[in-house]
Amino acid sequence: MDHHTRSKISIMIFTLPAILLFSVFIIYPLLPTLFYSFFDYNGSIAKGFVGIENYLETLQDPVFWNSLSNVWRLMLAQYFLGGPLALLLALILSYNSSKLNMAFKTIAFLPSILSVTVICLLWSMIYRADQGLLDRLLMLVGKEDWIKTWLVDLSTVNWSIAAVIIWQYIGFNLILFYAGIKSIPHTFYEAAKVEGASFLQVSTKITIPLIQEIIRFVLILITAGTMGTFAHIQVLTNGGPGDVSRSVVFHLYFKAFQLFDFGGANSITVIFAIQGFIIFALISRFIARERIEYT
Amino acid sequence: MKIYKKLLLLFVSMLIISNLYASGVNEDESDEGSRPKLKVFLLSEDSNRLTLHQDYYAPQVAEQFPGFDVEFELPGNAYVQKLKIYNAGGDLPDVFWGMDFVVESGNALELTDYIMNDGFYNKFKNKNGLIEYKNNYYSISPGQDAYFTSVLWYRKSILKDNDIPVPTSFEELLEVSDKLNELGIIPISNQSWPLTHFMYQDLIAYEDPEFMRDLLSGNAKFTDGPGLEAAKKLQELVQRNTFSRDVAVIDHQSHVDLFTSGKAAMLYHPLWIQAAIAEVSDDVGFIDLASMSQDSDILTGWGSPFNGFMISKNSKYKDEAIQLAEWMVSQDADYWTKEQNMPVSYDNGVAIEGMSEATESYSKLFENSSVMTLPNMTQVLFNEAVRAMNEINISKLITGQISADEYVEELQKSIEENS
Repeated sequence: MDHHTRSKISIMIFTLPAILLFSVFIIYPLLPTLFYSFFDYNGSIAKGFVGIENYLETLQDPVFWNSLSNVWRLMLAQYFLGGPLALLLALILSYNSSKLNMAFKTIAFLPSILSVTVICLLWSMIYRADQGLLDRLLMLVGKEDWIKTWLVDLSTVNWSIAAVIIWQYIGFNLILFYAGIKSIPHTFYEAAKVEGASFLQVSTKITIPLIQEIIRFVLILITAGTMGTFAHIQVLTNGGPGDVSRSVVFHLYFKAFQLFDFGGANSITVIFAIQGFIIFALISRFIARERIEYT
Repeated sequence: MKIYKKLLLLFVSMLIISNLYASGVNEDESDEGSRPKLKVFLLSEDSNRLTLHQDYYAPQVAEQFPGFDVEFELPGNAYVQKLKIYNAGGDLPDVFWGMDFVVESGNALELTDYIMNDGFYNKFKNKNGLIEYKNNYYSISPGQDAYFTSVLWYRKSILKDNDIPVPTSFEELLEVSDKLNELGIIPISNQSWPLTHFMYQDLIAYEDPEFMRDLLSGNAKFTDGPGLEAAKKLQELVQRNTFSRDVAVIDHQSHVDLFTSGKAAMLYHPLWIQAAIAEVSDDVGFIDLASMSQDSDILTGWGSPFNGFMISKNSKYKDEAIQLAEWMVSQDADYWTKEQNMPVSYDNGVAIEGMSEATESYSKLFENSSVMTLPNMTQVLFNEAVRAMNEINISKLITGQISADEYVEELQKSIEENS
């Protein structure tokens, strides 16, 4: 047996436990979902094989596409607003070593450890028509014409939910970025300081390139969290008014547990899982492609 | 190996073995001395149900069932969702508040033989409190629902102080709404739930009670005249700002607070809301929306074969679970009769004193054979899927996403597809 073959066998032996665990806890549970997505299945009895009918119904269902677009909008809001804001705050915090940093980090992190129900009840009071904090603030600054029924108006409901989610997780992402930044050796910053580099230069030339893997990690967390959005919607709007604020997970839950169309719900799960794999593959392919070593 | 290391090793080994043994034992009977467990899943969203748990079930259950460890679960407003999950997994609690989907999926125990043989059935002075489904009883309650109906409550002082008469027709209701809106008062505090489960039916009955009866017996369609007119009336109420702006999402407590604080002049909610509005009870009047009067000749009853305690078909302790449910029914009866002064079908020997004016009035109406009592359509005509779709479509109707025509077409389609 040559060295190459021995090496391959070693790799297989060492990766076997991980592959086994992944198969048992991830792949195996997906199989019944895939299986029943081809059946007229009410959760208890599979009434008959329907081929790809559930998939066709899902793909022709405007509520599914609306739910998917809601998830995409929320994801984009997280990518281009929540994530960058958390990164910016982490950069500022790490650049200025004020004594208030710890207090700020604690306050910012607090929402992410609170229960979703508590957060949503808090925000539903903020959004409440007429008596809510937001409406009162707008009245105080003389902007009555900006007042909306935030969780009912079709133009604001999804953004109102997005604001809650972004607010809740900004502190969590901030801490991740901050930890990544703090792991960068000081020598880089000392050299930059000697050269007279500005905050912007330090951030774009040193910090951000060196925390690429953290950025990728945060992107994956944001994506997974956003794709699984359910509780916020359930507490704030129950998917409404009507079905305009549903996420995909809420929609599949509705199909399964309200309409007892588990076959249809499973087809949504499969389509959504495929989309998730594609997104994660793209993030892995294009973000942090090269591992940067500190030398 | 030194002696203390051997002892340590022995101790750790014994610890591991005892843990392994403990984890292998059924959790209902974790060791020889412990008692078997009965799980009870309670409705816990409203103040009545919370009081029942805090003041009636919890303090007495250990004394009543000394051989069992009775565990209550109060899921708040997640009750239905959680019950669905339990039901889908076939792992229902021993006792729970019933829903139709549990019966439809075959997970509810048939109670007829039990309650006939143990004398529970005979404790009902009015048998309407026990409602059969396919010749069987699946749930038990003291039968307070048989006396519940929807009510349009109003604050006497607000109407009187502003020279506004109590409306006697739909057109007058719109006029009253306009006047109240001009004064900056919300005309009616309403919420998605009563709106979906009662108001549309009341408006159909207002249009034509016989048509409502035909709908319930399957001899009419929602797309027919009165069904469509009622949907148009509902949409008109919204367009005339009769309800608060956030009626589609307002929570129960805020809905009640609008009325008790005087920000809303009227409140649309079933009779059981009385406890929550007790602080203003001296200032409250009431009418029935379907007749726009206090002496209604048509009522919508809330009783259903599923509204009561059910027992899981897979319960290990069926007899004990039934005894527990029957005891809880007696506690419910005590609560409704003694604390709420409301009538129940179950005879607990309590003569109700100090019945509220509304309760007394509606009790007389419910017991008056000349009054047409119609069952609630969302309870008897809709199954779970139709109810779910109807909630969505009512929400779309009141937020202007669909027209009244589209609403009735969707509702009729949903009924036909799911029947």
